[in-house]
Amino acid sequence: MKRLFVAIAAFTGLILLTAVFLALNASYFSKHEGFKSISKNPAITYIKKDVIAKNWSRVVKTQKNLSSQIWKNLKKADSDKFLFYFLISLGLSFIYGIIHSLGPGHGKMIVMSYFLSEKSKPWDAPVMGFQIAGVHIASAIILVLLVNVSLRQALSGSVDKLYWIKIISYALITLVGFVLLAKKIFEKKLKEKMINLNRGILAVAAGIIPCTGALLVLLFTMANNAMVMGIFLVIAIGLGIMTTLSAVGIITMSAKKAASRETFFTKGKNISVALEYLGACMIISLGLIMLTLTVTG
Amino acid sequence: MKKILLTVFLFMLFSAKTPAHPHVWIETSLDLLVENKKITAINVKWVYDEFYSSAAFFESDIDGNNVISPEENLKFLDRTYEELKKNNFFTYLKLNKTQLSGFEIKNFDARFKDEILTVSFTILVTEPVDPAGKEFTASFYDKTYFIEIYFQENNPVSFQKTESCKHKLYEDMTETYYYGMVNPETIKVICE
Repeated sequence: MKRLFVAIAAFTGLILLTAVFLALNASYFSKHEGFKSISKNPAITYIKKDVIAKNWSRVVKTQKNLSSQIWKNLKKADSDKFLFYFLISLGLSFIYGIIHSLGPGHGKMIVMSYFLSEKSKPWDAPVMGFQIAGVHIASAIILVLLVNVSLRQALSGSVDKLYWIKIISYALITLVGFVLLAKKIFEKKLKEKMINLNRGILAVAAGIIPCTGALLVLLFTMANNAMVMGIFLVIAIGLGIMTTLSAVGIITMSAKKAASRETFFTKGKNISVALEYLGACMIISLGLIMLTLTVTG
Repeated sequence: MKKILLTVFLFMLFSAKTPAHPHVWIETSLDLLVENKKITAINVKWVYDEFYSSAAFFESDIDGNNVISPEENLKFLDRTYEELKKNNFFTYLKLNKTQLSGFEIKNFDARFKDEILTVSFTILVTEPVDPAGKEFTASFYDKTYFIEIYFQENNPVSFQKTESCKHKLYEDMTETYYYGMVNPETIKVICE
């Protein structure tokens, strides 16, 4: 019964946290508008973005520039210095993967919520990162190699099919969230196989939508009769994604450990339990939100 | 160390706002036609990123001779027009914060130069808009955020037949897309 109350409290806390965040966000942007004018030319109001907006823009620009550089190096790879340009492209693809996965997407949130919810070892983070990135990249390779997807299908035509994949994957995320929460409430210890299965389901659900960046690289290399090169490049992108997700997992575990330390004011164990409830609730919320948004369009 | 970890964690938690998830990029520039102090048309130019352009090029090059023939270009033009039409050309025009639906697309063109795809079209405003004393805004975005449409850095907007108009580029915080995580870059036209 006590644990049920904790679960309800965690849910309420999550909603409050979201409300506070949204309120702070709204008030911040209403004051700052995110931008300031710096132009002396009366014909142009050139707007300078503030620090946050500017940094996010930089991330987007960096991603675009990296994509551009990979393309240019791949073009040059069709020369005597093939190995040199190919290796540069591989390195750039790896960095592209790291930066690409810093952006919005539910993969990061799932990793964070999962490692908040579960007692894990540091090694579990790269394993989950590998699973998500692997599924994300493999689905792109399968789509191009087996289904022979075209550019238009990759970007628009297959949306109807993706709809059901999304519905299933978000439903699975919600389900696993409930399993993790029930486990906490009823103090059940799951067998290692069941723990791995839960993590595996979450990883597949998070990564199943194919990486469009990988699709474009594969389509480009396929058109240039260099499919094998393309597969190496998307594997490098996948390793980059895995690196970011692993880092997210390890930081979450470390933050949870740090927050759970006993202090004069707080009981470490209680905080740890509260965070575990919060993590499970976050997975449920995330699954339900994504499911609702997908259904309602 | 504990504080640093918690800060990084909280940053990650809230970094879902990071607009870094697109896979296709389009650089936009606009040329507004202002006649008798009213906006009558907007010429839009989109330059696509290299990977998308290449993929589109190879798909359009049906005979595989690395040259887009006029027939191939025409087919590509038709397909691209239909695709963009389905998405209302990713165009959002607003007058006093109310969406303008009355516009038609003319002079649609899509061509490759050195494998880079450029799409251009003219938005004819059905009822010309007098922006003086009103708020006229234009933004272009893909709600699924597969495509990031951003304004050219140096000269995103120019005006024809007027010297009394200027623009303001900002991120519209009242409008969000992609699960509420991204705000569109918007141009506000200010005329005296």
